[in-house]
Order: sequence, then structure tokens, then C-alpha cells
Amino acid sequence: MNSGEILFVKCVKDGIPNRDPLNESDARRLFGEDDGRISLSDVSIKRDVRDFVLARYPDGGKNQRNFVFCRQERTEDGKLLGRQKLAEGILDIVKRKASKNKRDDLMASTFDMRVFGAVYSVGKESFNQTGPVQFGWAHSLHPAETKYVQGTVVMPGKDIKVDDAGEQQGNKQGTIWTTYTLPFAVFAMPAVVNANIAEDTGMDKDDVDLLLEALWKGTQHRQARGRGMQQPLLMMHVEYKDPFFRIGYLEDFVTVKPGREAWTGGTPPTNLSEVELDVSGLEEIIAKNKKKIAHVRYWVHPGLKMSGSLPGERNELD
Amino acid sequence: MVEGGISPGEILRQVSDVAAVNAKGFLANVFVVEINLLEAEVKIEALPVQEWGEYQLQSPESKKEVFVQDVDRAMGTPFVIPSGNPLKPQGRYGIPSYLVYDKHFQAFTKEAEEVKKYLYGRLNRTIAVELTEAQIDEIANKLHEITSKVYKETKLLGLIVLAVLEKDGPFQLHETMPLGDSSRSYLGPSVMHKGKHLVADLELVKERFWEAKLAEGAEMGEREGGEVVCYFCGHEDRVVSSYCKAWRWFTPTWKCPLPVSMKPEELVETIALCPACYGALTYGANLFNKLTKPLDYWLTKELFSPSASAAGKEMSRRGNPESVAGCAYALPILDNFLEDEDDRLGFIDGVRTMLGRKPRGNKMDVHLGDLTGFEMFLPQEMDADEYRLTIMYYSGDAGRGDIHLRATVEDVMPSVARQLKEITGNISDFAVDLAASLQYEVSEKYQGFLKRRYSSLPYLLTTAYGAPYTWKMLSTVMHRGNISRRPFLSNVSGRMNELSRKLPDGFHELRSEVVFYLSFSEFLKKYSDAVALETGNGGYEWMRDWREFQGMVAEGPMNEIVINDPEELGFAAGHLVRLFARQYWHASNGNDFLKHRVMTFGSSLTPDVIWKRALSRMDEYARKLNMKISDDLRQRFAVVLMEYSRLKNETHKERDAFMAAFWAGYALAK
Repeated sequence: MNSGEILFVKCVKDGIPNRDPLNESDARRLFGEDDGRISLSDVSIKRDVRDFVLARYPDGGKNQRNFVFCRQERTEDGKLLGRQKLAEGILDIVKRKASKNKRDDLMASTFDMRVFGAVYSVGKESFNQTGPVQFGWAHSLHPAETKYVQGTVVMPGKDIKVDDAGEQQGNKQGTIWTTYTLPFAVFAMPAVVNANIAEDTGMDKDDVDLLLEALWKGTQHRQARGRGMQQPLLMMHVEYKDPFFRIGYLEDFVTVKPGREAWTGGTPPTNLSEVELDVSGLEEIIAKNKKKIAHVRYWVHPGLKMSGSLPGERNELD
Repeated sequence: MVEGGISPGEILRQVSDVAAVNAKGFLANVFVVEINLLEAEVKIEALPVQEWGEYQLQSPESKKEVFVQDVDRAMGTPFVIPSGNPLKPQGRYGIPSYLVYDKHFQAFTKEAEEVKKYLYGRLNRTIAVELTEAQIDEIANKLHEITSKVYKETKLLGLIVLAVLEKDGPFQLHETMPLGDSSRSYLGPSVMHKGKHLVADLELVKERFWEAKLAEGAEMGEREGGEVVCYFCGHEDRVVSSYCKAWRWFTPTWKCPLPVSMKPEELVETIALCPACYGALTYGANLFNKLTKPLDYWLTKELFSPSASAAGKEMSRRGNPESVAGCAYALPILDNFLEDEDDRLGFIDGVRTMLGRKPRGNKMDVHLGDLTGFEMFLPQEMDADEYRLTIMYYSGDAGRGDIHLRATVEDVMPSVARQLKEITGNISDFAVDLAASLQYEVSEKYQGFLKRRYSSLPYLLTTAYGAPYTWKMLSTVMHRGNISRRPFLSNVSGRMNELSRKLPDGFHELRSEVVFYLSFSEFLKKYSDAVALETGNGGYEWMRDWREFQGMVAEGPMNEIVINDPEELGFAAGHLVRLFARQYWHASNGNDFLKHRVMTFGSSLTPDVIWKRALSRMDEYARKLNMKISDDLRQRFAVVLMEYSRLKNETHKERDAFMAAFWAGYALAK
């Protein structure tokens, strides 16, 4: 497989895809107060990918090679399993429980270890492996304002009890919830794929295809109210002939219209039909580096308006 | 500080917990056992239970008495209050002085065997004390006997001191009590040698204490020989790991700073320290812990409240936010600064004052709590620009090594801190004066409330810019950076807009926002003039002083009314609309003008709505209701209308500035 880069653009409605626990679960804001953009960590995007693969291949798929190591699993009495048990669970299914080389066996059986790498620290069996695929932070392509909203829950937090005097004790009313939410935003996220590291982990072309599918469909199928309704808009995979070449920062070559004034004004865009993605910068940079590029393929959401045209092969996901 | 300059007693006070508030209880019941190893026949006797301190009235007015420990006596038997399970032995003990909790007392009174178990666990971790099994048995019996007499099933804390008298040991027999001798502390009268006294030599106690600390570091690895090098000073000889019970930010139980393949006992392979540097680490870590204070509770609530929502802010005030701790310290900027004897003594005095947390009645000590959000003083010795302040904020449970670092503000110049402190002081006065102009009566309680908030820099910044930017803004301001006005205007006008929908009921809250808007504007102006390195104001012109501007709009000659920008236009419009609304209220039998005529159908107020439905239709409303508005007011409306036409485009761009100023003009109109 080739080294390459991925550019992934998605939008979200009525929710924050990745919250900041240090700021009362508001959106993550890495840029200054004048900038106004918000950000999503690579960790949150990898979670979407893993969840998709886990749901798609609960039995590990063909050749039992697509298990997911980094997952939440509980014992019968509800306790969360630790790294060792999670790994043993997989090795047990692939009949390599007595394995002497856990690293290689886990790499061969788990999609996320092959693709994202792993830090495995269990007693003497510790190892860490950098992943061939590294996602960057996703930033919104425009300033985005979050709203603080509150609502009520009909259920009281505690049951009502009747004391000895016959009086009702405890809350008689439901509780109030509060949260930050984001009406609408478009994010761009970069990723790099390193062919040399892929050799170490055993990642192959099929893994890249599954990763791209998971990125798209995992985002689409993300089910959590607070994370909002997400929609992948554009995904581009650029493969290079030279494993040591990279254009870099592909996300900087796409912009969203309307510009910042509209987003900071009184009526910012609130849905996909009000925005347009300008990819002419991307078109130009790819044309410029044509000789070093082996292959370009991309996927576009039908509802996305684009200015500029992308080179390469346009694909459809089933 | 570790190597010289302060007395051993002072060091022991600073690195142990003997002076801590929560150490009081232990010193109210001190059990000293005299163990004489100097004579051929070893003798063991327990002293009567002592109180190292006295009960004092809590305050001159109060009848309640509280125990205040005698720190000078306790320095001879330094101890550390454990952060883990206090019932178990913790770390290493330099001298045999052990804390006793209620559960221990309960066990001690049952049988001497329990005391023995307790002593074994601790003696194993005590350096340089060797007692035979028979001797420990005898000590346990004596302690069982004496604690059984004292313990009456009421919660009790205590301290056990094994005063081992040996050659060159830290405990000695003296003819006299060490009165006025700062190198010794008094343990009590000898039972075996009537008329003599048990005394601790603080220099030797200090040495043992450091040795014990070093043994703690050695728990996670120790290396000796020619090939070892201290991570910090390059000293070659003996090194121990950086594991330090006082420094909870780097614990081997938390894997994150270590390579995954590393065992805790190999911690010495990561950062190794020579005894001197390890002593300095222990000392610094203790000072850091002692200088750490929680942020004021009211402020923490404000820090986490949403800046663009008035209702959200109110809601957050009712919640229980996570506690945030802060620590600030000052260090000289140059390495060789402390080589000078005077500078070194000044530094030591400064640290001592910071630890004291009380001003010395000296006006040169600056109380910086308003800037940092937690109690702290910058002593006079450290306010020169040869020093730099470091401020850190974190939350989580430090005792478990679970620390969420929220912000580090480094390299703050003391002179900048002093200037900012002065500005926030002025702003709090400004806010109180402003509130008096807005309301007929401002109660003392409300004045106090305003003073506290408006003198607090973290409050001002978080309310203006919002929680995600608080720490960054704090750092920017302390480094004299340029700060923008736009996000502040956007947030304040958002809150005002929300409150305006509740008018006339929510007028009180709206007035509070007006106080904030004008006070923070004043802060920005003063900050830009006096502190910021760049004076650019993000393309904004400052609005003129509101009193001056209001005078011009309301009473000045018509041909001298000059409106410079959308903000001033908003203020003028607000002022005139309020004057008209008063008359409207009378003429329409108590209808609120804005609600009745302008914000119909629950719409939001925007510059355009104000222009279309308020300013340009005054005449029409006046005629309908047969109102008699003066020619003067009518002409002033005309001026503002013309200015609106002129500044229409700018006003659309600076909508927030216009709206915030509109409400200020509206609320302040007399």
C-alpha cells in the first residue's frame, strides 16, 4: 500500500461532536476568543471508526482480523474490563490465548491496533506501537457559537418516601438539565497514512478501505443526542508514489462560504443548503503535485454544494 | 533556602505539617515515652499526657475556645499528615513521632498487642532507631496503660513520641528548659531524672528528617557510584528517584509520565536526584502545597457559567461546580541573584511572608487575591522586577495524583501585577458609583457584592469572554497582551437581548448588565492606556465617558451633538427612547413602550427595529396618544435619526456595540 493523506469534511446539527470536560462540556476551543472556531479531537473521530467496525464485524469478520481492541466491555456484574481482559477476550476467540507473542497476534486480529497503533501496558507484556494512520484535530471551517440551553425531566431525581408522620419526603418535581449545543457547523479533519509503519503493523489496502468506509458510515451512524446529527460531506484519499512525500495540511486548501462575517452576524447559516465548500485550492495543489501522486479518490455527499472541481476518481459508498 | 539562611526550626516548620491548622488535634494529646539507652540498664517510662499548646478564645467576642498548637515545641517532633490511608504507616519517619487517630485509640485500649502492631509498622519505616522486641513490648504496655486512662470513647487524636536518649541522638537530657533557644525544642520533664528535661536538638532532628525524605525517594530506586549523575545539578555520587510524597504531581502509581514498560521501582532511571536536589524538591513541593489555596467558591461558579446567556449564568450560580485550586510563587529571574547575602535574606523573608498569608501592616505588600482568585500576598521583598511570578490552576484530587492542570501563567512581572491590581481596584469603585447612578439606593450589601466582583480580574475576564477563554485571557492580560473588545460586546449584548424579552420585569438584571458593560469598557480603556504593550483596540474608538456623552446628548446645544460611532449612536438612541418611554407610560395608562410598540410578537431588539419602530415613529405615536413632547426632544430625535442614516452600514457591522450601548443609555437616562 501507498503512503497518503486523507481529508474528511463533515457537518453537525444540534449537538457538539466532542465536548470539553474542563469547560462544563462546552465545545473545545483551541483558538483565541476572536477566532471563534471550535475543534474535535482525533480521539473522538477514532471512536466513531472503532464503533462502526465493532458493529459491522462483531465476530471479527473474514479471517477474524477485524476485532476492535479499544472498546467498552463489561463483566456480568457490570464492571468495566481492563486492557488485559479485553486483549485476552480477542485472543481467546482467535484461539491464540497461550500466545507467546501477544503483540503480533493482537496486531493480526485487531483492526484498530493495526491502523491506529496501541499502547499496551500489562505487566511484563507491555509494548507500544505507533499507528500508520494519524488523525489530526478537526477544526470548524468558520467561527461557531454554542448555545446554552436547559430543559426539564419529568422524573424526580429521587423516589418519594413517606415518613413516620405520613408526610411525603423527597423531590416532587422533575429535575432540570442544562447543556451547551451547537446549531450547525462544518468541520475539516486531516489524516496521514504512513506506508512504512503500515508494514510494521500489517496494515494493508483492505484496512485502508475499511477505514474510509468506517469514517464515512461511522460518522453517519453515530447515535448520541448530545453529539448531534452528523453528516459526512467530503472524503478524499490521496495516495503518493513516493512513501516519503506528502503535500500536507490538505484541510487548509478548502474553505467554506459564506465567510466569517456571516457566521458571526445575526443570522449564521443553519443547514447544509446555506453553505458551499470551495475546493478550488485543493484542485490547484493536487494538479501541481500530479507527478508524485499515484491515485486520488473521493466521495461527496449529494447535498453538498461545491465550487471548483476535484481531480481523481469519484466513488459512491454502498 | 535548604543549604543555609534559615534556622533548622524554620525549615522543619515549613516542610512538616506541625503548623498546619489540621495538626492542632494531634498536639492536644501528646504521649512522650522516655527511653534511656545511655545507661547500661535500659529504662523506659511514659510521661504524663501533655498538651502542646493552649485553649484560646476563638475571637475576642466569641465564648468558644479552640486549641492553638505550640509550634515551637512541635518542631522537635516533626510529622507529615498523610494523604493516603491515615491508619496505615506512610512513607519514612525521620524520628519516632507518630500520629494517632481515633481508631488507633480504640484498638490501643483493648490490648497492648494492638499498640505493638502499630509500633512495629512504624518503627520499620523509621530510620536510625533500633529497639529490641522486649523494649517494644514494654513501650506498648506503657502506652496501652496511659491511653486507656485518657480515652473515653470521644473522638480523639494524638501524637506518640518515642524520645530515645542515645549518644549523638536528636533527643537529649538537659539541666534546664530551652527557653529562648531557637535551636532546641522542649519535649517535657524527664520521669527518670527528676529535675532534668527532655529536649530535641533541631539541627539533628532536621538531619534525620531529610534522611527520611531521601529514603522515600530511594523507595523507587537508588543508585550509587561513579556513573550516576544528578538530573539537575550534575553531581556524581549518590542519587535517588524523584518520587516524593509531597510532590503528588509525579507519582509512580500514575503511569502517564513514565514509559509503559517501566516498573515503579525503576523510577530512578527517569529522573534521578542527588541528596541536595532531592532536599530542594521536597522543600519546594512542600512550599507549593502550602501556597496552594482553593479559588473562592463564588468565583468558581462564575468561571463555569455561560457568558452569552443570562439565564444560564443565573442557573450556574445555583449549581456546585468542581473546585479549582490555585498556587502562586515568585522566583528570581537570574540564577546568580541569590548569591548576594542581602538578596537571599530578602527572598527568604518573602517566602515566609507568602506562607503567612497575612500582610505585615506594611503597605508595600500587595494583596494579589483579586488578580488570581485565591488568597495570596506578594511581599515587598519580591515586588521588584528581578522576580517573576508563576501562577498555576488545577482541579482534581491531588492526593491521588489525579490532577487536571487548567492553566499555567508564567513570567508575570510584579510591576504589571501591581498595575492591574490598581486598575481593578478603580473599576470596583467605578462599578459602585455607576450602580448608584442607575438606582436610587444601593444597599451596603449590594455595594460589597459589587466591590468583590468588580475587583476580581478572573471574574471580569470570564464574564466578558466566557469560560473557554478565561485562563488564556488571564495570561494575556498578565503579559500585557492586546485584547479584543468584540467578543466581550457580543456576549454582553447577547445577555442584554435575552433579558430585554422579560421587560419590564427583568429590568434589575438588565441594569446589572449595564454596570458590567460600562465597567468592563472602563477596564479595557485603562488597561490599554496603562498596561498593554500595543494600544490598538481592534479598530474600535473608545466611547466617550458616559456622563460627558449623556450630558451632550441630553442637554448640550443641538449643533454640538457629535456622534462618532455606532456605540455612541446606540447610547444616544437608548437615552432618548427611555425619555420618550416615560411619557408614553403616562399617556398610555402604564404600557411599557418597548414591549407595547417596539418588541411586538416577542421579537428581538435590533438596531433596525429601534430605528424603524421606535426612533422614526415617535411623532406618530405622540399624535395618536395626544402626548405633548417638547420641541427640544423632537429635535434631538431628529439628530439621532440623521446620524443613524449616516452610520447605518457601520451599525450593521457593529450591532453588538450599538445594542449594548443602547441598553446603557436606556438604563441611565434620568
